[in-house]
Amino acid sequence: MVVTIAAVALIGAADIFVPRGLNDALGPRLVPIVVGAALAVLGAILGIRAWISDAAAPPDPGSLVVVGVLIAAMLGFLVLFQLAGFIVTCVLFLGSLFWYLGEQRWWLVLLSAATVSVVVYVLFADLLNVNLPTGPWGF
Amino acid sequence: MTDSLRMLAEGFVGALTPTSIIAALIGCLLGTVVGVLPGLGPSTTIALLIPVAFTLEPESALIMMLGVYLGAMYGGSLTSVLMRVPGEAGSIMTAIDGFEMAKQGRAGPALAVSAIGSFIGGTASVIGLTVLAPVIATYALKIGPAEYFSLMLAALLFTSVLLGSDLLKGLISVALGLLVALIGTDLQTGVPRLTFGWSPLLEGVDVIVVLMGLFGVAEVLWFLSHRGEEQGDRLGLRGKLWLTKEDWQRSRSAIARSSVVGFLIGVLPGSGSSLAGVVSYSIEERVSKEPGRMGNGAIEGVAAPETANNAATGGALIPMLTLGVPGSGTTAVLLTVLMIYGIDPGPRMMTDHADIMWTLIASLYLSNVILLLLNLPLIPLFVRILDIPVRFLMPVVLVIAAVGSYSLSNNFADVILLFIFGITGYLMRIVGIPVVPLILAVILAPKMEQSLRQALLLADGAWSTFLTRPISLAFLLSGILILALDLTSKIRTRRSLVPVGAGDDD
Repeated sequence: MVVTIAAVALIGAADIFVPRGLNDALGPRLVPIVVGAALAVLGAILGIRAWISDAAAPPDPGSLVVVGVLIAAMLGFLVLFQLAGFIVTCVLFLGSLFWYLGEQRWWLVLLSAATVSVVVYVLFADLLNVNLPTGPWGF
Repeated sequence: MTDSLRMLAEGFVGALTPTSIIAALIGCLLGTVVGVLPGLGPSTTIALLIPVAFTLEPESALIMMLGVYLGAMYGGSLTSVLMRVPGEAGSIMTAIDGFEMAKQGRAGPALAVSAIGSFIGGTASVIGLTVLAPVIATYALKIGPAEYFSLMLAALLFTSVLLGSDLLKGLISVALGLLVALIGTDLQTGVPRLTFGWSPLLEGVDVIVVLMGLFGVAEVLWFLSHRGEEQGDRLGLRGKLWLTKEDWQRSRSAIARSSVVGFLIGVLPGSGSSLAGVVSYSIEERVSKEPGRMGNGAIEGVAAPETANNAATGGALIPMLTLGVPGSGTTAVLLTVLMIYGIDPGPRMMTDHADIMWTLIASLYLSNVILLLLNLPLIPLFVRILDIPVRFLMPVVLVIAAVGSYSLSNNFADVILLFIFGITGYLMRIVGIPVVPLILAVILAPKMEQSLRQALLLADGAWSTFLTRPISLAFLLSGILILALDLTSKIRTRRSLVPVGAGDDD
């Protein structure tokens, strides 16, 4: 947990440095520097406090495995999204997650993944005129 | 006063059109369902609805979203009573006595008083809104840039103090939010800030993406990683649904007190339905003439928090509508929606867009009635909704969020950002940093910086202007006051009961 806090402090510190390279007038640089500095200080205080007191246990992050899988799924989604088109990506995404989260009946997994994907597609692409990417297969 | 009534009447005309009624119905239903489902809250739902809202008329979309807001307060009580799991933050205290009552076979009266209390609390607070809004609006016109800046600063301070149990973390959240808000091109000098050379960031980060990521995606991550820990038994709905005369007598004063308390707490930025629930419950405890009743199935223990959490909604809308300053996660989302429709948040909202405001207020009355009528008979149906397995629901939420973010600017980068914010939100919850201050900071920061510059411009660069102008000074002092109060731990015990959830703290 202290590590995370240190990370927060580092973000703050890092952000102080970034504006310097990108602009030179005083106005726009002022606020980011102030905020970045404040963040670094607050993060440092938090870190020190946690180190000293060692008090309350941090909230349980839960099953990191599940989170890992979800993140992997999201990454997969991002990668496939533009390559394979929305519908395919969505079906794969939903299907794999439904199955991973416990649904055993593979036919139901496929069916519901496909249904939801199509419904969402129709809803957004046709009704709301959003330009969802289509894959090389034309959908 | 008569002027307000006249405008209210005109508002009703707008609110009673078939389109508006349908919008309200959908919103209320959706809100109740969402309130019942754990893991989804009104703020998340409204954020997810934003892309949909683009195709609707402003009024209908807003009416629907307000319906969702109110509905969620009603729905949250269902799981509290039947499963000891609060459906949303405002119903935490309800879970205590409500579940006890359910165990005693009195789930029916618990749910009934919940619905009735919610109705009375909700309606009372809308009446309060009706009365107070114009009053505040007239004062609001006296607010210039300096006052505005101080007000927003105070609001951020209030939020970091009142939400969650740790001031330091609240402040960190605010700082993070400010940083996020700064990403993009500075409007006054055209210089890119914090973009790290990645061109999609030149436009800045869309607030809605931040919202959906921090509220929706993070919530899903958190929920799924903690799955299986809370699957309590579900109690059935046995017995009658009606209140006995004794029930009614006991609840009456609790409802009356909680309406007022809830309303006032809602008005404060940073506190909302959860704090309202906790405070009203504690008041009932103090006031109770039979110690030991509370916590063991006392009907007041259900009536009080449920009334208060609905009353808080009307209160929370006051600073949002009259001053353009959101005080909670959900009102922040609502404010974003208003901004999308070109309704500029600020003291001028009530005068420039009076017709829309009053239509919204009128629709609130309507929604309260709809919810009362819907809830009592449909409770068994809503209970069935709990049967939808989580494994289906959560991934679908992710997809909706992803498509929603993509649809904002047809920009794939937004989806990437969505997931990044989702993971960030999850990490924040692990560390215990509240998410709502961050969102508020993101929303308020642009205006704050603008007001800061304008104020300095008007005062020829004199920073003292924030202190010499009385209203501005007053706001700043109240911000400092609440900081001081916190540091002397007066509020600390109260706050440790309020959860650090992803945005359901409204």
